[in-house]
Amino acid sequence: METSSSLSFLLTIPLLAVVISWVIPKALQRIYAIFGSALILALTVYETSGILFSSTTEAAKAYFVDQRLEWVSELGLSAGFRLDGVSAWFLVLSALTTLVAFYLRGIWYRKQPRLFVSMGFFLLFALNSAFLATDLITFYLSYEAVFIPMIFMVGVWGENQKASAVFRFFLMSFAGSILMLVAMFQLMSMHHAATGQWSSHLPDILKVVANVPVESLLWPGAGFLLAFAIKVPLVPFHGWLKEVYVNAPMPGTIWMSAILSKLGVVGVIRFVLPLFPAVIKEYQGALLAVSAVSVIYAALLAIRSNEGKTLLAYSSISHLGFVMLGLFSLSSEGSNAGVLLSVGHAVTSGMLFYLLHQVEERSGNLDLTTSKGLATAYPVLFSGLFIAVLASVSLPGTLNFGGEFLVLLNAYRASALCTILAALGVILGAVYMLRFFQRLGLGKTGTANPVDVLVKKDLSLADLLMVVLLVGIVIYGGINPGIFMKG
Amino acid sequence: MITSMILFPLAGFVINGAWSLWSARNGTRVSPRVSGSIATTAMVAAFMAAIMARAQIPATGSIEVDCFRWFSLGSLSVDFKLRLDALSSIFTLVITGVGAMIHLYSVSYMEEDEAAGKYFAYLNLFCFMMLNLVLGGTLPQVFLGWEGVGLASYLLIGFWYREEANVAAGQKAFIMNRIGDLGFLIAMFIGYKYSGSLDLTTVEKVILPAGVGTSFVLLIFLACTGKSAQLPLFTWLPDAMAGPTPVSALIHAATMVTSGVYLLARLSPVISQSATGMAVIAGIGAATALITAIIACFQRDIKKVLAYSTVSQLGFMFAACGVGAFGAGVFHVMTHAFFKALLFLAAGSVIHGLHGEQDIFKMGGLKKKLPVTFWTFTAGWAAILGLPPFSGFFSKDEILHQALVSNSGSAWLFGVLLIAAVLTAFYMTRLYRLVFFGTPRMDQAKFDHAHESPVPMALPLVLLGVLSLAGGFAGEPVHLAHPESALSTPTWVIMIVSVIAAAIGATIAFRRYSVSEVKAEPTSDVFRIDAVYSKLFGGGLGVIASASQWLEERVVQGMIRMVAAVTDLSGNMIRVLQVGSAQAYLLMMIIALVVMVFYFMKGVV
Repeated sequence: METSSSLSFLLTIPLLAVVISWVIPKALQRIYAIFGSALILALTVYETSGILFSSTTEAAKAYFVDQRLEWVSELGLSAGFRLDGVSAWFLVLSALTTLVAFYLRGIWYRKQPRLFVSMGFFLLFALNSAFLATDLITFYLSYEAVFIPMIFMVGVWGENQKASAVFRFFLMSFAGSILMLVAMFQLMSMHHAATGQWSSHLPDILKVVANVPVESLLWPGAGFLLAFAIKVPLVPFHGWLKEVYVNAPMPGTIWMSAILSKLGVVGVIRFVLPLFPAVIKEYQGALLAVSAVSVIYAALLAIRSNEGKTLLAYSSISHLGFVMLGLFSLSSEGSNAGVLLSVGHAVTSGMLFYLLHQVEERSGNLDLTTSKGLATAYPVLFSGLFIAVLASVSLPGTLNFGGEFLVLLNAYRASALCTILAALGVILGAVYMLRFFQRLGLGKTGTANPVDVLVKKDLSLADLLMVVLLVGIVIYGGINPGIFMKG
Repeated sequence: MITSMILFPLAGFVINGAWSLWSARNGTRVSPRVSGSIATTAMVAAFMAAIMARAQIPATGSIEVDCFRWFSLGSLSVDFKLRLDALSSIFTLVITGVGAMIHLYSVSYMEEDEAAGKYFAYLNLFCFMMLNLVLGGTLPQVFLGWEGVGLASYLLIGFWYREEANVAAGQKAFIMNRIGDLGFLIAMFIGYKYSGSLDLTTVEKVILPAGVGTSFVLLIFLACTGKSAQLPLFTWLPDAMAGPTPVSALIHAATMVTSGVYLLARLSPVISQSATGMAVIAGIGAATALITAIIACFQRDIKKVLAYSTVSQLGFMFAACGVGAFGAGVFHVMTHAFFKALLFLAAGSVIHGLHGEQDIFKMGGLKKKLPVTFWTFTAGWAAILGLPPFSGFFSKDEILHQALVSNSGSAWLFGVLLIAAVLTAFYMTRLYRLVFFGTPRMDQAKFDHAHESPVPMALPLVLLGVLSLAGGFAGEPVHLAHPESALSTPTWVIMIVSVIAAAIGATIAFRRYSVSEVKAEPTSDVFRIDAVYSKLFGGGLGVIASASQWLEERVVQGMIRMVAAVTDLSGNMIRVLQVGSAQAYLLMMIIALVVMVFYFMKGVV
């Protein structure tokens, strides 16, 4: 398990799954996708179990793996990967999210299912490669490759015929990564200037960067930060998010909210914090403030949202503001807490969107302006949704509590003011999530349009199985959150 | 023994919860009798465990049970552990004992409800969380219980969720509690920063710098004002009466709302360090006691009178804590749990007997119709008035005494509380007189149909009646919980003054409502506090949210539209990309990348 072959294995398997999907008959695509992603999830857990289940970070370190492949060494083109306490959990999360997304029934299995499944597995490959990458070019390529399947998601299976409009929003986040690319080249040329050799490998660059004056690192640092601020996103770089989330098909929304947003989180942990410590330290106050403002501002927008998916989209920004607050508290505890909250957010938002899709199938729309009173007709579905709501408001005993609590606890030492501001989000979160649940589930029954209702029954056993799995993770993580903090 | 005490209600919750969900899915019904019996059995077992656990506590000290490591990070480690000492033992006995009686009462009360299984699951969940709150050995664990009881409260207030008003009341309770919880959270951060630990044993002894100490106390007290419905966060409690009446008795009178008193008593060594903080607690407590006693005089709904009365009595307890008499506060928690649970359950029995009537001006003459309810209610009435030898007499007199004689007490504080005591006697006697005496003010048919409640409801009434009568003699053991505030013997003068005060209030009410034609009085919230809040905070939040929305639509989306306009220049290319295949896009990206690499390197080299 601790050999580097496990890394290549983890990266190759999703690609293999893409290839196989081309020969699977259309009718079997969903079965294939579910079993394929479940198998990948199991293999990922098995291959990384040394890290995942060791009792302490120290013990986990024995299983960390570094791997470097040379491509064109004269040009410094190489590929580098690192499996450690952070990347291991994100690999598991991306496999889990893919399983949840594939599990949903919908138009994507009727219209070009082969394309959907192959894009899903390709996305998994790109994500894993980005989470593992320790090489600038490898990271950049994987980071950009993630766009391809997402554009297809919105373009082919999107909710409305607004694909070209949505495409523009993608371009905005694309613009951010161009700046990151420029920053990467600047770092590589610094390495070249210092050693006379080209390298894009993070450990090489770290050695050089340590001797570079802070002023020269300001712009590269800003390039990386801006890219990740758009990706996560942080306010005010979030403008692209709503249209994309709302117009994407539900599996696309699940991928974006649960795992794509974490590319920015991992990017900050792996690249920004080690490469630019002095720059970050210098601007820590501003970064904490931006994170806290993100929490509040997005929560206020969620309070004003009148559509279920929009509300959850803004709630996602708000939660990720907490994560970034943890990272910018600039302590290993803060980063670990940020990772824990990322895991919590990924599982919870996956579950929320998954169940929201079930609600939409039963009510025809997700309008929140009037109460639908659906809980009476679908008690099991709404019990699941309620647990997801509780996790989302970080009730103690759920996975999200530990993350949010530890983030705030550590951020308090960095800035009491920003922490208190962000903590107001705890109240606002309850305001919009309770309203969300009330408008969909509670009150008098009967505002749904029966013509639009596709499914009349409560959750099927298969759906219940998925909900039980996710609830299990939420509660287990509430009791033993330490397992997710191995960074 | 301690572990099993919390596991019984948890097991009850899991069994009834799973059963309810399963039958909901299959469209079958859960038997209220069976699910109620399961839940009640769990509580009786927990009560037994609480009694046995109490016997094991050493004379001075506590029993600690380490369950598991909850989380650790860096130098912080938080264990899940239970700690039983004299203080938490009183609370566990009240929670499980009164809880068991209210569970039993509910078996009859909820007999007709088709969601009874869910009801009993929630009730057990509440008790589990409440036990976590008082037994938790670390602050995060207390917080788990703190938010957990809030959750159970939300679920039970909005139990009949098809009525929008009930749901709104539940949400109001949850959100106002969350405002308080924010104080708890930040107080934990301060505690950790200065003590390096979140263990109660460490935090309660920490010495905080003066300013920090005051902020800590005020933040903890903010949490208490939310959970225990004190000024300014008390307005959720009257609305919380939307839930089933046994819930009002258990959660919104006897146990959950006293959590704040527990927390202050638990942290009393660190709380007492701040004189300013203590003065604020005493002041707010006394002000709450007076203001809500006034409001209670203007209510018509039997449950609302009792709700405002609860807020007022909690104010007495906080006033006691504020003058350093934590023991007196805790003593009043216990006696109040007996007589207020009794008053609520008796009110439930009246409502049950009249098939849902809650307006006291539409009652009257029920003394003969509901004899058990009448006699037990009388015991509760005497206790809350503080007539000797009923339980309330002991605890309330001690609070009055301490408010006058303790170091931080004053004549002002004593005076305010004494007026509140007069008003308490007034509104309780008004209620008592209007419900049970005089001529019936309802249809003859309704009066004829009025009936005494069945045994499962009557038995808890009788038991609580006995406790309301005799519970005051348990003062000595309660005070052992707080050796630093030993039992003081109120002087004769104070005893006589307080009994006279009660007699004045009661006499005025009796005379006023003994006329043959009682004129119905309109309900009034007197100070319009609720209306002001909804303008101020509801409106304020609305304005801020609208401002954010404006910013979002105009500025942020405007920025996006600008980016879009620029990219539209290459509109044709976008369309090509969009219909193109993955390979084409990938190829283009790689080409672009290679071009960039070479261009850039040329520039550098």
